[in-house]
Amino acid sequence: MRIEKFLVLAMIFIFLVFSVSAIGVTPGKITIDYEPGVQKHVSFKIINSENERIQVVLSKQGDLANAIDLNEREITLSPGQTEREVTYTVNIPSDLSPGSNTAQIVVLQVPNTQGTSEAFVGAAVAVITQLQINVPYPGKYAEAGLNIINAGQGEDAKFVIPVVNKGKADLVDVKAQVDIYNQLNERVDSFTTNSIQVSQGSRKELVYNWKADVPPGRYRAAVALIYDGETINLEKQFNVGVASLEIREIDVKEFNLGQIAKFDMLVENTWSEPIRGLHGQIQIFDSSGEILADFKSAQSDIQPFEKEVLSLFWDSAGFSQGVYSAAIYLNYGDVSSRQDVTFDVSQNDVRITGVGYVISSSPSSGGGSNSLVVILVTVIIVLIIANILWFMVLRKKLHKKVK
Amino acid sequence: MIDKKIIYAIDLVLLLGSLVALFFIAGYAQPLVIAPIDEYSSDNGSVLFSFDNAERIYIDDNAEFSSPEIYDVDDNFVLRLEPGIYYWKAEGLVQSDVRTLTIESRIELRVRESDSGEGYEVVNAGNTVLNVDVYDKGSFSERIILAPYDSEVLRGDKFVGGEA
Repeated sequence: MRIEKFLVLAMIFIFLVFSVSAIGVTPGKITIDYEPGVQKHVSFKIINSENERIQVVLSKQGDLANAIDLNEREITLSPGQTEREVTYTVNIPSDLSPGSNTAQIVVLQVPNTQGTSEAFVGAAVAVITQLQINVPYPGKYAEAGLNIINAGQGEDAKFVIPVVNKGKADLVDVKAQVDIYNQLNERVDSFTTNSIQVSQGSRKELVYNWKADVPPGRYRAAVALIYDGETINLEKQFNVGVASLEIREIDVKEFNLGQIAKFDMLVENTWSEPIRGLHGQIQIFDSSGEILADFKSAQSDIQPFEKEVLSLFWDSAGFSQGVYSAAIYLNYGDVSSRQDVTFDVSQNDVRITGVGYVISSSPSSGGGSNSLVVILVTVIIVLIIANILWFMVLRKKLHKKVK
Repeated sequence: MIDKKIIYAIDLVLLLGSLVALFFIAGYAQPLVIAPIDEYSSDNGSVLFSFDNAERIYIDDNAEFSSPEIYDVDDNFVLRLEPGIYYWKAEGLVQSDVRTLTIESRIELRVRESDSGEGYEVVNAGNTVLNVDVYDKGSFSERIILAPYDSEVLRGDKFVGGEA
Protein backbone atom coordinates (compact mmCIF):
# COMPACT_ATOMS: atom_id res chain seq x y z
CA MET A 1 0.00 0.00 0.00
CA ARG A 2 2.81 2.36 0.90
CA ILE A 3 4.38 1.87 -2.52
CA GLU A 4 1.05 2.61 -4.24
CA LYS A 5 0.62 5.79 -2.21
CA PHE A 6 4.15 6.79 -3.08
CA LEU A 7 3.48 6.24 -6.80
CA VAL A 8 0.27 8.30 -6.66
CA LEU A 9 2.09 11.13 -4.88
CA ALA A 10 4.93 10.91 -7.40
CA MET A 11 2.43 11.16 -10.28
CA ILE A 12 0.79 14.21 -8.69
CA PHE A 13 4.24 15.76 -8.22
CA ILE A 14 5.13 15.15 -11.88
CA PHE A 15 1.82 16.72 -12.93
CA LEU A 16 2.47 19.70 -10.68
CA VAL A 17 5.89 20.21 -12.19
CA PHE A 18 5.15 19.61 -15.85
CA SER A 19 1.50 20.59 -16.37
CA VAL A 20 1.11 23.28 -18.97
CA SER A 21 -1.64 25.70 -19.71
CA ALA A 22 -1.74 26.81 -23.32
CA ILE A 23 -4.08 28.63 -25.64
CA GLY A 24 -3.77 30.33 -29.00
CA VAL A 25 -5.64 32.30 -31.63
CA THR A 26 -5.02 32.94 -35.31
CA PRO A 27 -4.80 35.39 -36.93
CA GLY A 28 -3.50 37.78 -34.31
CA LYS A 29 -4.73 40.80 -36.24
CA ILE A 30 -7.43 41.31 -38.87
CA THR A 31 -7.63 44.52 -40.87
CA ILE A 32 -10.81 45.41 -42.73
CA ASP A 33 -11.67 48.27 -45.06
CA TYR A 34 -13.67 51.17 -43.74
CA GLU A 35 -17.20 50.94 -45.14
CA PRO A 36 -19.44 53.13 -42.95
CA GLY A 37 -22.72 51.51 -41.93
CA VAL A 38 -21.83 48.09 -43.31
CA GLN A 39 -22.16 44.93 -41.25
CA LYS A 40 -19.37 42.38 -41.58
CA HIS A 41 -18.74 38.92 -40.21
CA VAL A 42 -15.19 38.26 -39.09
CA SER A 43 -13.72 34.86 -38.18
CA PHE A 44 -10.74 33.67 -36.22
CA LYS A 45 -9.62 30.34 -34.79
CA ILE A 46 -9.01 29.30 -31.21
CA ILE A 47 -6.12 26.83 -30.97
CA ASN A 48 -6.12 24.04 -28.40
CA SER A 49 -2.52 22.94 -28.82
CA GLU A 50 -2.45 20.83 -25.65
CA ASN A 51 -5.37 18.73 -26.91
CA GLU A 52 -7.18 18.97 -23.58
CA ARG A 53 -10.70 19.86 -22.61
CA ILE A 54 -10.61 23.62 -22.24
CA GLN A 55 -13.27 26.18 -21.60
CA VAL A 56 -12.79 29.71 -22.84
CA VAL A 57 -14.64 32.97 -22.29
CA LEU A 58 -14.69 35.68 -24.95
CA SER A 59 -14.80 39.38 -24.17
CA LYS A 60 -14.14 42.58 -26.12
CA GLN A 61 -12.31 45.81 -25.42
CA GLY A 62 -10.88 48.82 -27.25
CA ASP A 63 -12.22 51.78 -29.30
CA LEU A 64 -14.41 49.58 -31.48
CA ALA A 65 -15.75 47.33 -28.72
CA ASN A 66 -19.26 48.76 -28.98
CA ALA A 67 -19.34 47.97 -32.70
CA ILE A 68 -18.76 44.25 -32.09
CA ASP A 69 -21.38 41.60 -31.36
CA LEU A 70 -19.91 38.39 -30.03
CA ASN A 71 -22.16 35.59 -31.19
CA GLU A 72 -20.66 33.23 -28.59
CA ARG A 73 -19.27 34.10 -25.21
CA GLU A 74 -18.40 30.71 -23.75
CA ILE A 75 -16.88 27.89 -25.76
CA THR A 76 -15.71 24.44 -24.76
CA LEU A 77 -13.10 22.57 -26.79
CA SER A 78 -12.89 18.85 -26.17
CA PRO A 79 -9.71 16.75 -26.25
CA GLY A 80 -8.79 16.10 -29.87
CA GLN A 81 -10.46 19.31 -31.02
CA THR A 82 -7.27 21.17 -31.89
CA GLU A 83 -9.01 24.30 -33.17
CA ARG A 84 -12.38 25.95 -33.33
CA GLU A 85 -13.53 28.74 -35.65
CA VAL A 86 -15.38 31.63 -34.06
CA THR A 87 -17.29 34.30 -35.93
CA TYR A 88 -18.33 37.70 -34.64
CA THR A 89 -20.23 40.58 -36.20
CA VAL A 90 -18.89 44.09 -36.76
CA ASN A 91 -21.28 46.96 -37.38
CA ILE A 92 -18.89 49.51 -38.84
CA PRO A 93 -19.75 52.92 -37.38
CA SER A 94 -20.09 55.84 -39.75
CA ASP A 95 -18.42 58.32 -37.41
CA LEU A 96 -14.96 56.81 -36.96
CA SER A 97 -12.07 59.21 -36.77
CA PRO A 98 -9.31 59.03 -39.42
CA GLY A 99 -6.48 56.64 -38.71
CA SER A 100 -6.38 53.24 -37.09
CA ASN A 101 -9.37 52.18 -35.00
CA THR A 102 -9.03 48.93 -33.09
CA ALA A 103 -10.82 46.43 -30.92
CA GLN A 104 -9.47 43.43 -29.08
CA ILE A 105 -11.23 40.12 -28.63
CA VAL A 106 -9.86 38.54 -25.46
CA VAL A 107 -9.97 34.75 -25.28
CA LEU A 108 -9.52 33.71 -21.66
CA GLN A 109 -8.97 30.10 -20.69
CA VAL A 110 -11.22 29.42 -17.72
CA PRO A 111 -9.39 27.74 -14.82
CA ASN A 112 -10.78 24.23 -14.58
CA THR A 113 -11.21 22.80 -11.10
CA GLN A 114 -12.10 19.36 -12.43
CA GLY A 115 -8.55 18.12 -12.49
CA THR A 116 -7.09 19.29 -15.75
CA SER A 117 -3.71 20.91 -15.93
CA GLU A 118 -5.09 24.41 -15.51
CA ALA A 119 -6.05 23.59 -11.91
CA PHE A 120 -2.43 22.73 -11.27
CA VAL A 121 -0.97 25.69 -13.14
CA GLY A 122 -3.04 28.03 -11.04
CA ALA A 123 -2.71 31.05 -13.34
CA ALA A 124 -5.15 32.33 -15.93
CA VAL A 125 -3.97 32.59 -19.53
CA ALA A 126 -5.54 34.76 -22.21
CA VAL A 127 -4.71 35.69 -25.79
CA ILE A 128 -5.94 38.56 -27.92
CA THR A 129 -6.95 38.78 -31.55
CA GLN A 130 -7.21 42.35 -32.80
CA LEU A 131 -9.59 43.94 -35.25
CA GLN A 132 -8.31 47.02 -37.05
CA ILE A 133 -10.22 49.41 -39.28
CA ASN A 134 -8.13 51.98 -41.12
CA VAL A 135 -10.14 55.10 -41.85
CA PRO A 136 -8.72 57.22 -44.69
CA TYR A 137 -7.53 60.72 -43.83
CA PRO A 138 -9.16 63.61 -45.67
CA GLY A 139 -7.27 64.82 -48.73
CA LYS A 140 -3.76 63.53 -49.39
CA TYR A 141 -2.05 61.60 -46.63
CA ALA A 142 0.82 59.12 -46.71
CA GLU A 143 2.77 57.08 -44.21
CA ALA A 144 6.26 55.87 -44.99
CA GLY A 145 9.08 53.76 -43.62
CA LEU A 146 12.78 53.44 -44.37
CA ASN A 147 14.79 50.25 -44.79
CA ILE A 148 18.45 50.29 -45.75
CA ILE A 149 20.27 47.11 -46.67
CA ASN A 150 23.91 47.53 -45.65
CA ALA A 151 26.61 47.08 -48.24
CA GLY A 152 30.35 46.68 -48.45
CA GLN A 153 32.58 49.53 -49.58
CA GLY A 154 32.06 50.19 -53.29
CA GLU A 155 28.93 48.04 -53.38
CA ASP A 156 25.32 49.11 -53.71
CA ALA A 157 23.41 49.87 -50.50
CA LYS A 158 19.71 49.38 -51.19
CA PHE A 159 17.32 52.05 -49.93
CA VAL A 160 13.72 50.82 -49.74
CA ILE A 161 11.06 53.36 -48.78
CA PRO A 162 7.59 51.82 -48.52
CA VAL A 163 4.82 54.39 -48.96
CA VAL A 164 1.23 53.71 -47.91
CA ASN A 165 -1.48 56.04 -49.20
CA LYS A 166 -3.85 56.46 -46.25
CA GLY A 167 -5.67 59.46 -47.65
CA LYS A 168 -8.80 59.80 -49.77
CA ALA A 169 -6.98 60.88 -52.94
CA ASP A 170 -4.41 59.30 -55.24
CA LEU A 171 -0.81 60.48 -54.85
CA VAL A 172 0.57 61.38 -58.28
CA ASP A 173 4.13 62.47 -57.53
CA VAL A 174 5.94 60.63 -54.75
CA LYS A 175 9.72 60.79 -54.54
CA ALA A 176 12.46 60.97 -51.91
CA GLN A 177 15.40 63.32 -51.47
CA VAL A 178 18.14 61.52 -49.53
CA ASP A 179 21.21 63.03 -47.86
CA ILE A 180 23.98 60.81 -46.48
CA TYR A 181 26.02 62.04 -43.51
CA ASN A 182 29.16 60.57 -41.95
CA GLN A 183 29.86 60.40 -38.22
CA LEU A 184 31.26 63.94 -38.27
CA ASN A 185 27.86 65.04 -39.56
CA GLU A 186 29.34 66.02 -42.92
CA ARG A 187 27.17 65.41 -45.94
CA VAL A 188 29.00 62.91 -48.14
CA ASP A 189 26.41 62.35 -50.86
CA SER A 190 22.86 63.12 -51.95
CA PHE A 191 20.43 61.61 -54.39
CA THR A 192 16.81 61.80 -55.46
CA THR A 193 14.76 58.73 -56.27
CA ASN A 194 12.50 58.43 -59.28
CA SER A 195 8.89 59.54 -58.91
CA ILE A 196 6.03 57.06 -58.51
CA GLN A 197 2.24 57.19 -58.18
CA VAL A 198 0.44 55.60 -55.25
CA SER A 199 -3.29 55.08 -55.59
CA GLN A 200 -5.68 55.42 -52.67
CA GLY A 201 -5.33 52.66 -50.09
CA SER A 202 -2.35 51.02 -51.78
CA ARG A 203 1.28 50.51 -50.80
CA LYS A 204 4.27 50.97 -53.09
CA GLU A 205 8.01 51.16 -52.63
CA LEU A 206 10.62 53.65 -53.73
CA VAL A 207 13.84 51.73 -54.32
CA TYR A 208 17.28 53.20 -54.94
CA ASN A 209 20.65 51.48 -55.17
CA TRP A 210 23.24 53.88 -53.78
CA LYS A 211 26.86 53.12 -54.63
CA ALA A 212 28.76 53.24 -51.35
CA ASP A 213 31.97 54.88 -52.63
CA VAL A 214 32.81 56.04 -49.13
CA PRO A 215 35.17 54.76 -46.41
CA PRO A 216 33.81 51.91 -44.26
CA GLY A 217 31.92 53.08 -41.19
CA ARG A 218 28.62 54.17 -39.81
CA TYR A 219 26.45 56.65 -41.74
CA ARG A 220 23.14 58.41 -41.32
CA ALA A 221 20.55 58.77 -44.04
CA ALA A 222 18.20 61.76 -43.81
CA VAL A 223 15.23 61.23 -46.11
CA ALA A 224 12.65 63.79 -47.15
CA LEU A 225 9.73 61.93 -48.70
CA ILE A 226 7.86 64.42 -50.86
CA TYR A 227 4.33 63.60 -52.02
CA ASP A 228 2.24 66.15 -53.89
CA GLY A 229 3.72 69.06 -51.93
CA GLU A 230 3.70 67.38 -48.51
CA THR A 231 6.86 66.11 -46.80
CA ILE A 232 7.66 63.31 -44.38
CA ASN A 233 11.11 63.27 -42.77
CA LEU A 234 12.76 59.95 -42.00
CA GLU A 235 16.17 59.06 -40.60
CA LYS A 236 18.15 55.89 -40.21
CA GLN A 237 21.69 54.80 -39.39
CA PHE A 238 23.39 52.24 -41.61
CA ASN A 239 26.80 50.67 -42.11
CA VAL A 240 29.18 50.55 -45.03
CA GLY A 241 31.49 47.56 -44.94
CA VAL A 242 30.55 46.47 -41.46
CA ALA A 243 28.76 43.34 -42.59
CA SER A 244 32.16 41.89 -42.07
CA LEU A 245 31.80 38.13 -41.92
CA GLU A 246 30.95 35.98 -44.86
CA ILE A 247 30.40 32.25 -45.00
CA ARG A 248 32.50 31.09 -47.94
CA GLU A 249 31.88 27.37 -47.72
CA ILE A 250 30.38 24.66 -45.58
CA ASP A 251 31.97 21.27 -45.94
CA VAL A 252 30.37 18.11 -44.57
CA LYS A 253 32.60 15.11 -45.14
CA GLU A 254 31.51 11.47 -44.98
CA PHE A 255 28.00 12.19 -43.77
CA ASN A 256 26.05 9.22 -42.45
CA LEU A 257 22.55 9.83 -41.14
CA GLY A 258 22.27 8.73 -37.54
CA GLN A 259 25.89 9.46 -36.73
CA ILE A 260 27.73 12.57 -35.65
CA ALA A 261 28.45 14.82 -38.61
CA LYS A 262 31.22 17.41 -38.73
CA PHE A 263 30.44 20.72 -40.41
CA ASP A 264 33.51 22.75 -41.41
CA MET A 265 32.32 26.31 -41.93
CA LEU A 266 34.84 28.55 -43.73
CA VAL A 267 34.28 32.14 -42.61
CA GLU A 268 36.03 35.19 -44.01
CA ASN A 269 36.58 38.44 -42.12
CA THR A 270 36.14 41.17 -44.74
CA TRP A 271 36.40 43.93 -42.13
CA SER A 272 39.57 45.89 -41.53
CA GLU A 273 39.77 44.97 -37.84
CA PRO A 274 40.19 41.62 -36.08
CA ILE A 275 37.05 39.93 -34.80
CA ARG A 276 37.42 38.19 -31.48
CA GLY A 277 35.30 35.56 -29.80
CA LEU A 278 33.54 34.43 -32.95
CA HIS A 279 31.53 31.23 -32.85
CA GLY A 280 29.18 29.61 -35.30
CA GLN A 281 25.82 28.15 -34.41
CA ILE A 282 23.32 26.08 -36.36
CA GLN A 283 19.69 25.49 -35.43
CA ILE A 284 17.57 22.94 -37.28
CA PHE A 285 13.78 23.26 -37.15
CA ASP A 286 10.84 20.96 -37.75
CA SER A 287 7.94 21.93 -40.00
CA SER A 288 6.24 23.85 -37.19
CA GLY A 289 9.38 25.86 -36.40
CA GLU A 290 10.32 23.99 -33.22
CA ILE A 291 14.06 23.61 -32.68
CA LEU A 292 15.16 20.02 -33.28
CA ALA A 293 18.90 20.56 -32.96
CA ASP A 294 21.08 23.41 -31.75
CA PHE A 295 24.86 23.11 -31.95
CA LYS A 296 27.77 25.53 -31.73
CA SER A 297 31.44 25.74 -32.61
CA ALA A 298 34.26 26.69 -30.27
CA GLN A 299 35.21 30.37 -30.07
CA SER A 300 37.80 31.71 -32.46
CA ASP A 301 39.50 34.97 -33.46
CA ILE A 302 39.82 36.04 -37.11
CA GLN A 303 42.40 38.54 -38.28
CA PRO A 304 41.46 41.20 -40.88
CA PHE A 305 40.80 39.81 -44.37
CA GLU A 306 41.66 36.28 -43.27
CA LYS A 307 39.66 33.07 -43.32
CA GLU A 308 39.00 30.68 -40.47
CA VAL A 309 37.34 27.27 -40.28
CA LEU A 310 34.75 26.83 -37.55
CA SER A 311 33.92 23.20 -36.82
CA LEU A 312 30.46 22.23 -35.61
CA PHE A 313 29.30 18.74 -34.68
CA TRP A 314 25.74 17.58 -35.27
CA ASP A 315 24.42 14.40 -33.73
CA SER A 316 21.98 13.33 -36.46
CA ALA A 317 20.63 10.37 -34.45
CA GLY A 318 16.84 10.44 -34.46
CA PHE A 319 16.63 12.48 -37.65
CA SER A 320 15.01 11.01 -40.73
CA GLN A 321 15.68 11.79 -44.37
CA GLY A 322 13.92 14.92 -45.58
CA VAL A 323 14.09 18.65 -45.96
CA TYR A 324 14.57 20.77 -42.83
CA SER A 325 14.69 24.52 -42.46
CA ALA A 326 17.68 25.77 -40.49
CA ALA A 327 19.44 28.93 -39.40
CA ILE A 328 23.17 29.55 -39.35
CA TYR A 329 24.40 32.17 -36.89
CA LEU A 330 27.74 33.92 -36.65
CA ASN A 331 28.02 35.38 -33.16
CA TYR A 332 30.66 37.68 -31.68
CA GLY A 333 30.34 40.17 -28.87
CA ASP A 334 26.81 41.53 -28.99
CA VAL A 335 26.55 40.95 -32.73
CA SER A 336 24.68 38.04 -34.23
CA SER A 337 24.08 37.57 -37.94
CA ARG A 338 21.62 35.00 -39.17
CA GLN A 339 21.41 33.15 -42.46
CA ASP A 340 18.28 31.07 -43.18
CA VAL A 341 19.08 27.89 -45.06
CA THR A 342 17.59 24.53 -45.91
CA PHE A 343 19.08 21.13 -45.04
CA ASP A 344 18.20 18.41 -47.53
CA VAL A 345 19.18 15.32 -45.59
CA SER A 346 19.58 11.93 -47.22
CA GLN A 347 21.27 8.78 -45.92
CA ASN A 348 24.78 9.68 -47.08
CA ASP A 349 24.51 13.32 -48.00
CA VAL A 350 23.37 16.65 -46.64
CA ARG A 351 22.81 19.53 -49.03
CA ILE A 352 22.66 23.02 -47.58
CA THR A 353 20.79 25.59 -49.61
CA GLY A 354 20.70 29.23 -48.64
CA VAL A 355 20.14 32.73 -49.87
CA GLY A 356 21.97 33.30 -53.08
CA TYR A 357 24.01 30.12 -53.01
CA VAL A 358 23.92 26.36 -52.74
CA ILE A 359 26.39 24.61 -50.50
CA SER A 360 26.67 20.88 -50.74
CA SER A 361 28.61 18.11 -49.13
CA SER A 362 28.59 16.22 -52.40
CA PRO A 363 29.59 17.32 -55.88
CA SER A 364 26.92 19.66 -57.16
CA SER A 365 24.33 18.25 -59.47
CA GLY A 366 24.07 21.69 -61.03
CA GLY A 367 24.69 22.26 -64.71
CA GLY A 368 21.58 20.36 -65.71
CA SER A 369 19.78 23.56 -66.34
CA ASN A 370 22.66 24.91 -68.44
CA SER A 371 22.79 21.78 -70.57
CA LEU A 372 19.03 22.05 -71.01
CA VAL A 373 19.49 25.59 -72.31
CA VAL A 374 22.14 24.33 -74.75
CA ILE A 375 19.83 21.56 -75.98
CA LEU A 376 16.85 23.88 -76.42
CA VAL A 377 18.89 26.56 -78.16
CA THR A 378 20.42 23.91 -80.45
CA VAL A 379 16.98 22.59 -81.36
CA ILE A 380 15.76 26.10 -82.17
CA ILE A 381 18.84 26.83 -84.29
CA VAL A 382 18.44 23.52 -86.18
CA LEU A 383 14.80 24.37 -86.83
CA ILE A 384 15.65 27.83 -88.11
CA ILE A 385 18.43 26.49 -90.39
CA ALA A 386 16.17 23.69 -91.70
CA ASN A 387 13.39 26.16 -92.48
CA ILE A 388 15.75 28.66 -94.16
CA LEU A 389 17.45 25.92 -96.19
CA TRP A 390 14.19 24.47 -97.31
CA PHE A 391 12.17 27.59 -98.06
CA MET A 392 15.00 29.78 -99.35
CA VAL A 393 17.12 27.27 -101.25
CA LEU A 394 16.00 23.67 -101.73
CA ARG A 395 12.34 24.39 -102.34
CA LYS A 396 13.11 26.94 -105.08
CA LYS A 397 15.48 24.52 -106.81
CA LEU A 398 12.96 21.66 -106.68
CA HIS A 399 10.20 23.98 -107.86
CA LYS A 400 12.27 24.89 -110.93
CA LYS A 401 12.86 21.22 -111.68
CA VAL A 402 9.14 20.50 -111.46
CA LYS A 403 8.45 23.28 -113.94
CA MET B 1 10.63 13.78 -111.68
CA ILE B 2 9.56 15.39 -108.41
CA ASP B 3 5.89 15.98 -108.04
CA LYS B 4 4.55 19.28 -106.63
CA LYS B 5 2.65 17.24 -104.05
CA ILE B 6 5.94 16.07 -102.56
CA ILE B 7 7.12 19.68 -102.19
CA TYR B 8 3.88 20.63 -100.46
CA ALA B 9 4.19 17.54 -98.25
CA ILE B 10 7.70 18.58 -97.22
CA ASP B 11 6.37 22.13 -96.57
CA LEU B 12 3.68 20.69 -94.34
CA VAL B 13 6.00 18.32 -92.46
CA LEU B 14 8.55 21.07 -91.84
CA LEU B 15 5.99 23.63 -90.68
CA LEU B 16 4.07 21.20 -88.47
CA GLY B 17 7.33 19.76 -87.12
CA SER B 18 8.58 23.25 -86.28
CA LEU B 19 5.30 24.17 -84.59
CA VAL B 20 5.23 20.96 -82.53
CA ALA B 21 8.89 21.41 -81.54
CA LEU B 22 8.32 25.03 -80.53
CA PHE B 23 5.22 24.00 -78.57
CA PHE B 24 7.25 21.47 -76.56
CA ILE B 25 10.17 23.86 -76.10
CA ALA B 26 7.82 26.56 -74.81
CA GLY B 27 6.20 24.06 -72.43
CA TYR B 28 9.54 22.80 -71.21
CA ALA B 29 10.97 26.26 -70.72
CA GLN B 30 8.06 27.37 -68.56
CA PRO B 31 8.78 26.70 -64.86
CA LEU B 32 6.43 24.12 -63.40
CA VAL B 33 5.34 25.52 -60.07
CA ILE B 34 3.76 22.91 -57.82
CA ALA B 35 3.64 24.33 -54.32
CA PRO B 36 2.59 26.38 -52.51
CA ILE B 37 -0.65 26.87 -54.40
CA ASP B 38 -1.72 30.38 -55.38
CA GLU B 39 -3.32 32.25 -52.44
CA TYR B 40 -1.93 29.69 -50.00
CA SER B 41 -2.64 30.66 -46.41
CA SER B 42 -1.36 29.14 -43.18
CA ASP B 43 -0.23 30.04 -39.70
CA ASN B 44 2.78 27.76 -40.14
CA GLY B 45 5.71 29.88 -41.25
CA SER B 46 7.64 26.94 -42.75
CA VAL B 47 6.66 26.84 -46.40
CA LEU B 48 7.72 24.16 -48.87
CA PHE B 49 8.47 25.54 -52.33
CA SER B 50 8.16 22.79 -54.90
CA PHE B 51 8.88 23.41 -58.57
CA ASP B 52 10.56 22.11 -61.68
CA ASN B 53 12.40 23.76 -64.60
CA ALA B 54 13.41 26.69 -62.41
CA GLU B 55 16.59 27.67 -60.64
CA ARG B 56 15.68 30.86 -58.83
CA ILE B 57 12.84 31.97 -56.56
CA TYR B 58 11.89 35.62 -56.03
CA ILE B 59 9.89 36.57 -52.93
CA ASP B 60 8.70 40.04 -52.05
CA ASP B 61 6.01 41.82 -50.09
CA ASN B 62 4.83 43.68 -53.16
CA ALA B 63 3.71 42.54 -56.58
CA GLU B 64 6.25 44.77 -58.34
CA PHE B 65 9.12 42.80 -56.75
CA SER B 66 10.90 46.07 -56.07
CA SER B 67 13.05 44.66 -53.24
CA PRO B 68 12.91 40.89 -53.59
CA GLU B 69 14.68 38.21 -51.63
CA ILE B 70 16.33 35.98 -54.23
CA TYR B 71 16.97 32.30 -53.57
CA ASP B 72 19.24 30.43 -55.98
CA VAL B 73 18.10 26.85 -55.68
CA ASP B 74 17.96 23.85 -57.94
CA ASP B 75 15.42 21.81 -56.05
CA ASN B 76 12.54 22.01 -53.62
CA PHE B 77 13.28 23.91 -50.43
CA VAL B 78 11.64 25.01 -47.21
CA LEU B 79 11.64 28.63 -46.17
CA ARG B 80 10.66 30.10 -42.83
CA LEU B 81 8.62 33.26 -43.29
CA GLU B 82 7.37 35.86 -40.86
CA PRO B 83 3.63 36.57 -40.79
CA GLY B 84 2.60 38.67 -43.78
CA ILE B 85 1.48 38.61 -47.39
CA TYR B 86 4.09 37.55 -49.93
CA TYR B 87 4.34 37.52 -53.72
CA TRP B 88 6.60 34.95 -55.32
CA LYS B 89 7.62 33.58 -58.69
CA ALA B 90 10.04 31.03 -60.07
CA GLU B 91 12.55 31.72 -62.79
CA GLY B 92 14.15 29.28 -65.18
CA LEU B 93 14.52 30.05 -68.86
CA VAL B 94 11.45 32.23 -68.41
CA GLN B 95 9.53 33.39 -65.35
CA SER B 96 6.44 31.74 -63.93
CA ASP B 97 3.23 33.54 -63.07
CA VAL B 98 3.25 35.45 -59.78
CA ARG B 99 1.60 33.66 -56.88
CA THR B 100 0.66 35.00 -53.47
CA LEU B 101 0.89 33.36 -50.08
CA THR B 102 -0.16 34.52 -46.64
CA ILE B 103 1.38 33.58 -43.32
CA GLU B 104 -1.19 34.37 -40.67
CA SER B 105 0.03 35.50 -37.30
CA ARG B 106 -0.59 33.01 -34.50
CA ILE B 107 -0.82 34.21 -30.93
CA GLU B 108 -0.09 31.41 -28.51
CA LEU B 109 0.95 31.44 -24.87
CA ARG B 110 2.11 28.47 -22.83
CA VAL B 111 2.35 28.80 -19.09
CA ARG B 112 3.72 26.37 -16.55
CA GLU B 113 5.04 26.61 -13.06
CA SER B 114 8.73 27.39 -13.05
CA ASP B 115 11.19 24.70 -12.00
CA SER B 116 12.04 26.69 -8.90
CA GLY B 117 8.37 26.88 -7.95
CA GLU B 118 8.51 30.67 -7.81
CA GLY B 119 6.44 32.25 -10.53
CA TYR B 120 5.54 30.87 -13.94
CA GLU B 121 7.50 30.19 -17.07
CA VAL B 122 5.65 32.00 -19.85
CA VAL B 123 6.50 30.89 -23.40
CA ASN B 124 5.62 32.65 -26.64
CA ALA B 125 4.64 29.58 -28.68
CA GLY B 126 3.27 31.62 -31.58
CA ASN B 127 5.00 33.01 -34.65
CA THR B 128 5.00 36.73 -33.90
CA VAL B 129 6.38 39.07 -31.26
CA LEU B 130 3.99 39.38 -28.33
CA ASN B 131 3.17 41.98 -25.73
CA VAL B 132 2.45 39.97 -22.59
CA ASP B 133 0.52 41.83 -19.89
CA VAL B 134 1.04 40.44 -16.40
CA TYR B 135 -1.64 40.84 -13.73
CA ASP B 136 -1.33 40.05 -10.05
CA LYS B 137 -4.39 39.86 -7.80
CA GLY B 138 -6.50 41.69 -10.35
CA SER B 139 -4.09 44.59 -10.90
CA PHE B 140 -1.91 45.23 -13.92
CA SER B 141 1.66 44.52 -12.92
CA GLU B 142 3.90 44.87 -16.00
CA ARG B 143 4.16 44.42 -19.76
CA ILE B 144 6.96 42.41 -21.31
CA ILE B 145 7.85 41.72 -24.93
CA LEU B 146 8.47 38.13 -25.96
CA ALA B 147 9.95 37.09 -29.30
CA PRO B 148 8.71 33.83 -30.84
CA TYR B 149 9.84 30.79 -28.82
CA ASP B 150 11.30 33.01 -26.10
CA SER B 151 10.31 32.44 -22.51
CA GLU B 152 10.55 34.30 -19.27
CA VAL B 153 9.80 33.47 -15.64
CA LEU B 154 7.17 35.90 -14.34
CA ARG B 155 5.29 36.44 -11.12
CA GLY B 156 1.56 36.98 -11.40
CA ASP B 157 -1.73 35.12 -11.66
CA LYS B 158 -2.92 36.17 -15.11
CA PHE B 159 -1.02 36.50 -18.40
CA VAL B 160 -2.53 38.10 -21.49
CA GLY B 161 -0.71 37.91 -24.84
CA GLY B 162 -1.42 40.04 -27.88
CA GLU B 163 0.41 40.99 -31.08
CA ALA B 164 3.01 43.67 -30.44
